[in-house]
Amino acid sequence: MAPGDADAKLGGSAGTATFHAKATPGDLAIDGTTNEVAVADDGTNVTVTVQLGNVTTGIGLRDRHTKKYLEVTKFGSASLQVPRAQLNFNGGTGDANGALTIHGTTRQTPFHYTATKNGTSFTVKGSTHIKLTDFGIEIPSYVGVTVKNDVDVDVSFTAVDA
Amino acid sequence: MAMGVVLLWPKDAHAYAWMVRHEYSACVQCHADPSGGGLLTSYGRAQSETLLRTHYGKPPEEDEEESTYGNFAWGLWKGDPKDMLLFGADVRELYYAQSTKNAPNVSKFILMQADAQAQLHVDRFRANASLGYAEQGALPASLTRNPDKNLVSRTHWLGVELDEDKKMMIRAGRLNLPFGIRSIEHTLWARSVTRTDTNSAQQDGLAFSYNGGKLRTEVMAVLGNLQLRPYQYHEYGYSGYVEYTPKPKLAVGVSSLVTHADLDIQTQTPMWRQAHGFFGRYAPARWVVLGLEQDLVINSQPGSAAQPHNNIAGTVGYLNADFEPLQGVHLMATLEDQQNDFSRGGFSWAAWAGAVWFFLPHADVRADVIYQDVTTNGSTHTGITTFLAQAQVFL
Repeated sequence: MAPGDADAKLGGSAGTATFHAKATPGDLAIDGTTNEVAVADDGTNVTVTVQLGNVTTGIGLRDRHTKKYLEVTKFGSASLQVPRAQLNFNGGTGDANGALTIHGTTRQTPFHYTATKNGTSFTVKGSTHIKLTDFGIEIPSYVGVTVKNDVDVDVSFTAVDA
Repeated sequence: MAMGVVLLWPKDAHAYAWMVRHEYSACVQCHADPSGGGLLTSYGRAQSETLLRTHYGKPPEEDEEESTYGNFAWGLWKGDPKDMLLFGADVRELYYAQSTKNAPNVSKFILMQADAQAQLHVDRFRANASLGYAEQGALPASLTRNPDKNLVSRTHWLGVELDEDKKMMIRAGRLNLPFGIRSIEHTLWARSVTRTDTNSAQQDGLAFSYNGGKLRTEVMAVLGNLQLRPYQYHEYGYSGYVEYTPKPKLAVGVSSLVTHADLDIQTQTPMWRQAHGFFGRYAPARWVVLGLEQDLVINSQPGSAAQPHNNIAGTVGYLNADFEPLQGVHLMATLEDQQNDFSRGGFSWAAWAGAVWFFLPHADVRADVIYQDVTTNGSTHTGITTFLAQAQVFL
């Protein structure tokens, strides 16, 4: 399959998205995870959508706070839309830019990805770095523990030829 | 020895190494002391309410107001969101019964702890102190000079944060010695033999602490227990640890301590004390946490004309498991080992079985059964069985 092959459409709904944040004091590690990841391909763009309603951080109260700050009742998902032309469908690693939408705000965001081709499917792992304030997200703070603005995001999924 | 076990029983609350099961490997978010134990921050109180105690009924709804029972005096004072002021107070009552081979059985009720703690935090500066009453024991922490029924101040210090992220702090004053796993079970031989418990083994000095995500450390220049008289008893040296968290629920570290006293309070001779060891905590699953510490202990005293130096090397340690089948209910098993003098042999061991229930906000009850096989003079074995029951309430 050649790069940017318009006939090679992808789809899938098996994946994991994780954010890695740190909070002061003491660089407390806060990781949030969800398995609600879907991939769609309209022939021009590949879009990865992550549903945020069931993000878990390991502590119920923290899950509630996470969803409150992300305002998931208004913005229930995050997505990354990438032009197919930027992607290498032969597998391997690469860097690309996509339109990342979080909390209702869209920004062009660079990301790194690794794609492994398995027959008619791809296992893809992608990572990027964001600043919460770039997406209009209020800096979470709870009784003296404050999340840092910089957050790493990892997404992995399996996409199959649709 | 029988009374010594009890009089050294836990007096400093809120030092729970098993919080690593919730990926809280460090202590600085929940405690005023950057290495853990004692006075809680507002965040620590929130976690105490959320994670520590048993909850009854259905879980809270998404939009339900958060519980304030964790705040000071069950929410009577909501606290200060910026933690400029922290307050705490603990009362712990103990019943113990002990049976020792060839000795009369003993049983007694003891007020183990009645302490108040406070901290003022302005900009980057902190002033922290505790004041309490000890019905028996805790003499090294006493402010008054009675054989019992003393006022005590276990910790009091001034601190300054060195960076905006509050990763680094310098503290000066009377501090818990940074060494090994800081936990509430401070009668463990690993604590009593190394003299690094949080009951009354605090020392005055200057300490630097760093808490930076996966790595945390504290190193202290020990300048002696200034509440101890005469000054010849004061120890000078250092104590410190470094801990690394390679995975969110795994923490491993090393400790080291070297001090010298012109007159050691236990041996009444000049003494160089050393303790060096490793420790670790691991939560393979949410419901179980394993803890391990093993230390090499070397005590050096003046010898005789024939033997100018008397160096005694031994080891002390423990392995424990904390099971939490239901939130707030802990079942604990501990094995201890001690060999005071490698050259003379004589291995001592102990086994604990205990349970603690954090049944309400700010309240817990605990029971332990401990069997100790203590070897003295290299070959004399003494079996000691102890039953402990405790109740604690804190504000």
